[in-house]
Amino acid sequence: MTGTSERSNVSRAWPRRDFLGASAGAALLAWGMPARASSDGLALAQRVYDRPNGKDVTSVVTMTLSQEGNRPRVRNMLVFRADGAGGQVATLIRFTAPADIQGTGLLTVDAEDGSTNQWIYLPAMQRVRRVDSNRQGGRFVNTDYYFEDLKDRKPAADTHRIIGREKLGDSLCDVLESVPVQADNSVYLKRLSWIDPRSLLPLRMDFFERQADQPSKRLLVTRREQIQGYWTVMDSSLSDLQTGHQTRLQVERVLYDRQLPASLFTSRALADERAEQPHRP
Amino acid sequence: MNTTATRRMPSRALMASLMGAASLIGGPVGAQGLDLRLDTLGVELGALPDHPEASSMVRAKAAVSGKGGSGPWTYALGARLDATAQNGAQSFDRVRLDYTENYLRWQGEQLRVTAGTQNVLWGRVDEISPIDRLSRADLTHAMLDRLPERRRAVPAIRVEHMGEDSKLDVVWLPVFEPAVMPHERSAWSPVDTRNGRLLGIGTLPALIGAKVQAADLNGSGGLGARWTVEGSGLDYGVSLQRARASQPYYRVLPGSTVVLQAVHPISTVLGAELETEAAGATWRAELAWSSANPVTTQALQYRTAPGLAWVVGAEFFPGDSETRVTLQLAGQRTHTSAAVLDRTRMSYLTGEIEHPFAQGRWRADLRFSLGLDDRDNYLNPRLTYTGIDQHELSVGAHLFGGADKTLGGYYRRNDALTLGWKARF
Repeated sequence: MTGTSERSNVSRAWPRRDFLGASAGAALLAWGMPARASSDGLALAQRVYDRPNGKDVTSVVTMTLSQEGNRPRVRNMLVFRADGAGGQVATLIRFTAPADIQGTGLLTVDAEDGSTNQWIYLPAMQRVRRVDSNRQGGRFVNTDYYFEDLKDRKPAADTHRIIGREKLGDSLCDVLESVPVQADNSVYLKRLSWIDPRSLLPLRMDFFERQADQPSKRLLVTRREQIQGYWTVMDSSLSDLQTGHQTRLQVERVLYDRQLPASLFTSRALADERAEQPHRP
Repeated sequence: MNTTATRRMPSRALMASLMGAASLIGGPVGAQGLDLRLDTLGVELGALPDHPEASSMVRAKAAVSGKGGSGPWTYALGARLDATAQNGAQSFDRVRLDYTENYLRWQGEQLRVTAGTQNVLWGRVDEISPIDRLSRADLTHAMLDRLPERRRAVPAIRVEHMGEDSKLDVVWLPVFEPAVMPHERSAWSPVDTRNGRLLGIGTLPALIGAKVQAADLNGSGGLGARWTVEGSGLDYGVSLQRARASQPYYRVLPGSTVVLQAVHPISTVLGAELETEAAGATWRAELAWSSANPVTTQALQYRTAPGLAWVVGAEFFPGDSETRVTLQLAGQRTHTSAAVLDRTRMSYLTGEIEHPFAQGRWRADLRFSLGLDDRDNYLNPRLTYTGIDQHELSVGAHLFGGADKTLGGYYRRNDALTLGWKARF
C-alpha cells in the first residue's frame, strides 16, 4: 500500500463505486455564482462515475456506530467489489466481527441495465435468501446508510447542475446538485456533492430527504489516499443531522486489481465463508 | 421433583458425530487455522400462569464450535449443552449433551463432499417448510423458537455440485436420528397421558394412563437430491427425497394398557420451490407431495396416505421503512377416504412483523400463526434490547388458543411469559 496521504475536513467513505456514482450533484444559488449548464453537471457526474477505481478492490473496513449518550458499536467487515463483463458490478460484503453478526454476508449484483439482484446470508438461518433489491429506504444493518446508498446509481438517473465552487480544506471543490429524474426512484429529493477536482472524490455530500433546503444527512471524508494509483477514501463519517447518530467507516487496508474470480460473487461463496479465505487480504 | 438429570449424548449420535471427527485423526487437517467460537450462551426464564401442572420453566443453552482446515480440506467440531427445568406438580430437570456440526469436508472447484454431522435445512420459507425433510427436528419447546433453532444437525454424507448458476445437492443419512423430544413431564410434550391428549388427535379418554414406547430406530434416515437454479430475478428448485420423518407419530395400540408406539414413517417426497421479486416484495413458495402421511382411523388403526403441502410467502417492508413483514399462507391436505381422527385439511396464515427502533438498539416483533379452517392461534410478541454488542435481552409472551385437535388448542394452557438473555462470543 503506497501513496499520497491527504487530510481534509470533509470527505466520503463507502468503497463502492455505486455510492460515488450517486454523489453527482449540483448546488444551490448560495455560492453567489450562476449555475453552469446542466451538460457541465452531467459531464462532471460522469467523470466522477468513471473515475478509475480498479477492475476489482478488496477492503478491510471498520464501521463505528455512535450517538451521544450511547456506547459506540463497532463492526468489522470485508468488502470485495469487481467489475464484470458487460458493465456488471458485483459486491460481496462479509461481516467479520462482532460475534453476533460474524459471517453475515450480502451479495449485490448490479447489471448494466440498472437492474439489481441481491442475496443475504444469515449464519443463524444457514440459508441464502433473495432480498428485495428495489428497496431504497431502510437502514443497512442499523447504520446511517440506506440501501439506496449501497447501489450502483448511474449518472443518467439524475439531472445534474454545477451550482458553485467552495473550498474544503485545501481543495477548491465543484458543488454539484443532483436531482432524481424520476422522483420515485430515490428516497432523496436531491443531493449536493463537493467534488475534489484532483481526485474526483466527493469530499462532502448533503442528502435532502423531506425538505429541499434542509439536508437530513451529511457525509464527510476526513482522509483520502492514493493507493496503487487510485484515489481512495480511507476515513469518512455519515451523520444523521437530526438525531446526531453517526456511521464512521475506516478503511484499514485496501488492495486493487487482484484479479478476484467471478466465483467469489456467487451464492455459493456467500454461504461459505471459507470459500473467500484465499482472497482475504 | 423428578430429577432425571440425564447427561446423555446418545451412543448413536455420538458415533455419528465422531464419524466426521474421527476421520480427522491422522488426516490431512491439523489444528492450523482453527477458529473456535462460543456460538450461543443463553438463559430463558418462563412463567406458565395457566398450566395446572407446571408453574415455570428455565432453559439454558451453550454451544461451542471450532472450524479449521488446510487446502481443500476443512473440518468442523461442535457440541451443545441444553439444561431444562420445570417447576410445579410435574417438575423435572434435564441436562442433555448433543452434537452440532462435526464433519470433514473436501472442496474442489465445483464439487464439495462433506461427511459427518451437519445442518441440512432445505427450503426457503420461514416457519413451515414442506421440503425440509432431512433435518432433525428439535421439539423440546414446541414452536417457541424460530425454525432454524428448531432444527439440529444430522449424520450425513453430502455431495454438492456447483454449476455456474445451479447447484445439485445430494444427501444420504446413513444413520437415522429421531427428533429431540421434550421430557415426558414437560408441558411441551406432544403426548399427555395424564389427561388423555395427543397433539394432532385431541382428547381421547382411552389414552389416559397409556404407555409411551420409543420407536425402533434401526436403519438409514434416507436420502434426497435437490437441484436449485439461481437466475436473474428468479431462483427455483426441485427435489426428491425418500426419508424417514424425524418427528414421531404416535400409533395407538389398544389393549388392557393402551400403548402409544412412536413411529417415524418413511415417505417419498417430491418438492418444488421458487423465490422471486415482484410488486415490492420477495416471494417464496414451496410445494411438496408426500407418499405417506400418517393417520389414525376412528377404529384406532394406523395408516399412511398421500398428501400435499404448500406455502406461499411474501417478505416486504411497508412504505420502504425498516419494519419487516413476512406473511405465509400454508396448507396441508392428506388424501384418504377413511374416517380418521387426524385433521386431513389444514390451512394457516403465519408470519412475523419485526420493527427495529432507536437506531437498531431495540427491536419489537410479533410472530403469529392463525388457523384458517379451525380456530388455531399462536401469538408471540417480543421486545428485545440489542444495544450491547453480542448480547440480546428480551421479554416476550407466547399465547395459544384453538380447537381441540389443533396445535393452539393442545397448548392452550401453555401461555407463557418469558425473560431471556442470549450472547455469542
